Amino acid sequence: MSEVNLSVQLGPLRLQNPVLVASGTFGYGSEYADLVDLNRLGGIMVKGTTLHPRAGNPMPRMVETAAGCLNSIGLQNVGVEAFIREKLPFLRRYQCAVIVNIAGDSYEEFEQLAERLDGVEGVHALEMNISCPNQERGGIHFGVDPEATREVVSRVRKRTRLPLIVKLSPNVTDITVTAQAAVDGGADILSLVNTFVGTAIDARTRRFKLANITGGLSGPAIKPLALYMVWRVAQAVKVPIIGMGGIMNATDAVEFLLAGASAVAVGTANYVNPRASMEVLEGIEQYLREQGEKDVKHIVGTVRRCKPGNEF
Amino acid sequence: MRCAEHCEVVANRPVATNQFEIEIHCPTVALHAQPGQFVQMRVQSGYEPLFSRPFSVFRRFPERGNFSVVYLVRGAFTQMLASKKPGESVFVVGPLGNRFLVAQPANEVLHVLVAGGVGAPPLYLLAEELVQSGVPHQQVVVVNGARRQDLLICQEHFAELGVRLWTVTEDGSAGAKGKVTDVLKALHERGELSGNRCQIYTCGPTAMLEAVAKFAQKHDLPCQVSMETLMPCGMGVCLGCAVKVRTADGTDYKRACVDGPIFDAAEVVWG
Repeated sequence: MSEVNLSVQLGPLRLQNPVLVASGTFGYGSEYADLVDLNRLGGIMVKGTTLHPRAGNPMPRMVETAAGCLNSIGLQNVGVEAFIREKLPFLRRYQCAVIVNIAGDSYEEFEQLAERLDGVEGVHALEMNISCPNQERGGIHFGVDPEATREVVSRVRKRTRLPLIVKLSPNVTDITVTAQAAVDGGADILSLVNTFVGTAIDARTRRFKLANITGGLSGPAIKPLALYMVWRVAQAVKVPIIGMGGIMNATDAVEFLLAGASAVAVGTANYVNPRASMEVLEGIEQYLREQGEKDVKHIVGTVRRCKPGNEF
Repeated sequence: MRCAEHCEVVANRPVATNQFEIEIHCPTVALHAQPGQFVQMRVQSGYEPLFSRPFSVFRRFPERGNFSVVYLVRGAFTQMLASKKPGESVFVVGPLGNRFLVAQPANEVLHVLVAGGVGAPPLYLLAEELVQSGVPHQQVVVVNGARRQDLLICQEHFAELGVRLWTVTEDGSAGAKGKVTDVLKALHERGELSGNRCQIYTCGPTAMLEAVAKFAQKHDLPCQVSMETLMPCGMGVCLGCAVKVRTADGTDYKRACVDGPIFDAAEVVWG
């Protein structure tokens, strides 16, 4: 059996394979290390990291919905200093890429996070989480405003030499506009999508199910929406894309690659099955063999129109 | 040592109204589960419901590589679990979480295990461990409570261990009429409970845990509670099972799945 090449080059970031685990769904890697061989992952996008530790939102923070889940964790995390001191040394032992997801409330916080992590051994890239409330701009989000997106990305770009990934919010009218803004600001790679804002109500008690009222929807429920957005953005920009949103198995992952993503991230599926990322990786390899493909790059963006009269 | 694998169902038998004990072949859990620890189980093939569900380990049968949990049928997931027949499989991740900590010196402490309804199983595993490790039977008190007799579980298992068993139901259909805290009050009035030689361990509905914790606090008794919450991942990463706890400088959130499910009752912020 011939070897299949799974390594991918995302702009300046090389990954040994295209399977990552999404921020907030895999902790800092150590939580899964006895069940998942971290050396086999393409990369780990660590829990969203802020300048200072955060306690997070009140409970309830997470609720199941039809084929999905709403979360309003509130960026509970140890803060960047504790991440570097306590979490990173463990991750350095593995050969997968370590991508630090950074979240700031202001331009300055993003700048400080980027500066702090630049040149830190064992950090391979930054992923900017720009769907947090922007205090400076009266509570709107960086990620839904193209000009704020371009501005925050360009400020971070000036303060780091690391490959820069910008994670796009899907809560916009036209995601290609914010995608282009992120590229204009200097993004090397785009990751999409983050969660969709939603809510859930308990009819019996007549109350919201989340303490925070709203949360971010993830899981299989959002896959068609995410897939569409990845396909749209792949047409619109030239930088590589990490596709995510409801990937539960290898077939889902392959669909994102066909839509134009150069790599994928497994998120909510990690909760359902700790080994989901490994099964996705093995399944992609098997798919490529079955399709007679020797290199995963060759299928990226190759989706074609459906053939009329051949639906079944 | 823990696993994430498909495991065979060995038996699935009723133990009370709407409650079943499912026995599963899973050597890792059978060998390594500690009292208070849990497993995440998945029986659905699709995405309804999406998440696994946590269940405390009830009995271990290391020689045949099996363990069991008790569950109450009350939703789509537990209905699917109840339909599982011997020979079919369930997906098991575990054992997970921390364990009840046995107060020391174990032979001198009065161990008071307070169970409410379907919360009894992990306390059975603890009682069994205490007895097997040589703690005198009279030093192990089990207060087993439920709303009605037909919802009371683990009775015969506790009886077999020879521990001091107090039964209490809200309607008086089995044992004394009242609540588990009424039994604790009675024990306290008899002078059996005192802080330096007594340890309470409790598992059950949250309202009961809170009542037991407040009783313990009032009388300055050490108390460990097993917190129940939705646990989407069980691995400590989703942060969806947060438990509010007191810290030196205010409050913070801990994760029920990895920092718990067993907490010192004194640190939990209730309500």
